[in-house]
Amino acid sequence: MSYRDLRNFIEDMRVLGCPQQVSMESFRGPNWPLLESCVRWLAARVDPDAALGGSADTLEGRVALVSHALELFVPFEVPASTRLPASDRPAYQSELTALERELEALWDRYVLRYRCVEALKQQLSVLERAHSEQDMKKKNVRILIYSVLQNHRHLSDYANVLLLCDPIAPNDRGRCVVVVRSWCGRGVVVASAQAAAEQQAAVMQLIHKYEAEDVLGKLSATDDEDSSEASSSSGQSGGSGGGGAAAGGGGTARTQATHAAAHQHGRGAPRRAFGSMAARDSLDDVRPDSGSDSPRDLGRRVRAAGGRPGTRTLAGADDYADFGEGNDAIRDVGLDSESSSDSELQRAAALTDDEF
Amino acid sequence: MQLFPSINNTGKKPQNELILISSTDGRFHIVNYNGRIEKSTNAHQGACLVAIWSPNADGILTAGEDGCVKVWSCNGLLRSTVVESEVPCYMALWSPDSNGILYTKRNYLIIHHLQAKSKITKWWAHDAVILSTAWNATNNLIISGDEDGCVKQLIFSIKEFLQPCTSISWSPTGDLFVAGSFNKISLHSDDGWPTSSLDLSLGSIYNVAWSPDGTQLAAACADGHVIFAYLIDRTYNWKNFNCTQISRKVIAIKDITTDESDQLDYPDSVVQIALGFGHMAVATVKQCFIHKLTSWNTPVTFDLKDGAVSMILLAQRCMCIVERGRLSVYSYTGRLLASPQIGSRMEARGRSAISLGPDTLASIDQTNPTFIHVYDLPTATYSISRVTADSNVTKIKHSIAACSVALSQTGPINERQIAIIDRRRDLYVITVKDPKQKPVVLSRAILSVMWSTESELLVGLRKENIVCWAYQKSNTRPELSTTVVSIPSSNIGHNPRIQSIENGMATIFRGKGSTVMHISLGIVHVEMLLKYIASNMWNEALQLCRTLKDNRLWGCLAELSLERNQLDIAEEAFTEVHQYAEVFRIQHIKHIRSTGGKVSPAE
Repeated sequence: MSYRDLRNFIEDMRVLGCPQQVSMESFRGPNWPLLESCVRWLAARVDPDAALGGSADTLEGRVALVSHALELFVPFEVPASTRLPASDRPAYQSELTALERELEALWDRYVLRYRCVEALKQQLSVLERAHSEQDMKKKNVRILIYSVLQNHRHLSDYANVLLLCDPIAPNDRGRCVVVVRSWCGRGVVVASAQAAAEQQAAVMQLIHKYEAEDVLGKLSATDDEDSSEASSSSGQSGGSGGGGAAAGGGGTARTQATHAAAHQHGRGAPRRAFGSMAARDSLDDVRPDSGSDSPRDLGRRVRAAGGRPGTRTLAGADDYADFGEGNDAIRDVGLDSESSSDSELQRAAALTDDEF
Repeated sequence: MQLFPSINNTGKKPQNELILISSTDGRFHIVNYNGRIEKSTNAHQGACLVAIWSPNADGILTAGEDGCVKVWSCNGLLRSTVVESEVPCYMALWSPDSNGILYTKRNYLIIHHLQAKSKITKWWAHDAVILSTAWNATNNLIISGDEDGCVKQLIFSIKEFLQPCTSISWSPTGDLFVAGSFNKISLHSDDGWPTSSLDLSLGSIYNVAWSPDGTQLAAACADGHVIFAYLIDRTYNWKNFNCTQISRKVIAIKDITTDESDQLDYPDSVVQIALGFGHMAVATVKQCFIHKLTSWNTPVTFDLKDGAVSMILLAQRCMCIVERGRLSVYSYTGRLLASPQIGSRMEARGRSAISLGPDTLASIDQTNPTFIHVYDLPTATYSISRVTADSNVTKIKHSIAACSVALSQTGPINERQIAIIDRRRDLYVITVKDPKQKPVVLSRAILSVMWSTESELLVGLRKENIVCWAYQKSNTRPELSTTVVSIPSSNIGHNPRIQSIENGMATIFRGKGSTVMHISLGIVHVEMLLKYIASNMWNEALQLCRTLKDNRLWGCLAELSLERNQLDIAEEAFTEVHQYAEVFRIQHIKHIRSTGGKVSPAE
């Protein structure tokens, strides 16, 4: 042992209260008796019930003594990566000191990495929390829009509603307004179930009237063409902004029959619904425009919006089945012009976050 | 670790600010105060256990685990390998004169002189391995501590600690030393008696160092702590006055007769205190305060040049302050009287090597202890002598080295006497201004000596008795021993020291634990007689002797009156002591004088 190691060892033994006096000259040479007494005393300090085997008299006894002492002093398992081969086990204090230093360095690195991982986990959780909050905000926006639509709010008020909607961030409110206005421009008309039923009833009346006048029969050959042109023109004019009344009227004229008629004729442009409306135009020319908001004016509004529907396609009862109070489900409505109003709603709900 | 020794030579700046550090890798490093390593040298295989500068700052001594003791130059170049041993050398020291080294070899202490063909002194010092040793330059004593906790010196051996004595260090003045062990540090007087101890919980005390003024110390502990301590409770007594240093800056003074007491606060730490001759002198790190004991609240103050005051001596008309590298004599009004240049390392002088009289200062030459310098002080004049002229200096040559000197405190300067104790413990008394006087041994085996402050009485201590000499001149009549008073005293201790002689009382510092003992010498009448004679009051002296009828008084009167040519009184005194041969001789002398010097052959 070097001077410093021996001095530190002696000091440590004094601090521990070892009654055996260790001299500076004790370990200048092999001193197994003293080593045995020190080891047994230390073992008794660690575990009073421990009984070390071996002795300092023979070689085997010494090996046993040291082995038992090491097992007692080092109870935990050393990881395999740091375990040294038996032949390379340190026999000298200096090597043991170097190993201890290396272990300390490894431990420090492990602690550093562990801390980095924990920090990343924390950041990830924060990010996820932010994402979830944002998703929640968007859901709140959609719910609000739906509720507003349910309450027959004028589209022009939607922007105000969005602006007043607190959960939506100011930046997001502007985008919502843009989207809603785009809906207005495309002539998205959202009507409640009641309004749709009224409209349907008004349309049926017109149909019955025109049947009585045999308008539909005369127009059977030209309805398809006119309806297709009208539907194409109505489809083209769907993008322009129209009044809310127009949205409440002619927008729903796009029905499945229009699609079917357009496809039957094999023309790219869909047939205009209510092909008999072309005849009605002539009647409208005859009949003075009173300007009153009667169901008959719906047709005018449709014309004002963007043309006379070519063919009439009656919306099925199931098409408006989703509209009702308390129905919070918002369908994804595509922005296809041939879809119905609920499809518009669905498209609105299906708008991605990027559009907001 | 050790700082470069500061040697204050006149007119020169202090030496380099260097630190010498030894390390366990066998190297020593010379580092400057900025932390830059000036030089690193591989000195030993294994740990370099010792690295110290020589006292004269001329070399470096190292000792290592490999058993070698080497001497290096201040630049780190090897000069010589003094010792090569198979046993680690745990401690090595320079001798105070830097001409030899002391080192340990297990149980032995060995002094090795560096001169060629010099003898080696080796002795068995301890039963266990020696771990620490110290050699004081002032008293030239060596103490050592071993692994059994014993502290030994040539004159004492004490089992101080249960654990090994890991450090030991003398104070600069040599009157105290500190020993450190495991969780304990103790303070001892120079004769080994413990004065105080501290129980700590900081591990072993590996090293202890004193401040230059000897009032503070620092100790390095095994757990990495460094502790700082300072001395307190130093007590001084003079007649009915007592003063005690109760803290670093506070002194409590008390008059026992009037029961008047006071606490004096000083702006800086108190370094030295001296009490006597109606004054109290207090030296701090910056100033010196001189208090009159009749009015101690109005001191005289003057600034000190160095601040590391190692000693203050008081006399009837002046005081002497010994600082590092200089010696100054002041009057009690604070005026500088003289600054004699005696030599370097003034702080290494002990109290016994310097003596101050009312108008004289004596000092043993440090380089050659056989010479004693005696300086005349201008205490009666207004001139300040800064450079001592040859006429003011008397050089006394002794046959062997002197250990202790003492100047008489009364009488004129022409009759100033000096008592010298040499290394054989022989006492000599010499008249300073009498160059023709041949020194004769007055007594042998004297441990301590001191003059009375009121008369020409000289008191000395032997092993078993106290001896008082009323007349110290060369005694050509050995049968006339009435001028010597011997008082038996068996409990003085093995290393006593006289502190003062006042009013027939001897104050002795014993070496057995009890600090002070007061012994009545029973010679008040002798001192009274001496005072009468000193004042030329012969009739009163004669009357005193006739009244008391004491042979000792008659003997003193006889010698002194004969010396001073008082033949009538001498004749009567020699008659009283039955020295008839002297009586006839005196009568013959008187007859010659009466006849005008004409003596017939028949007479």
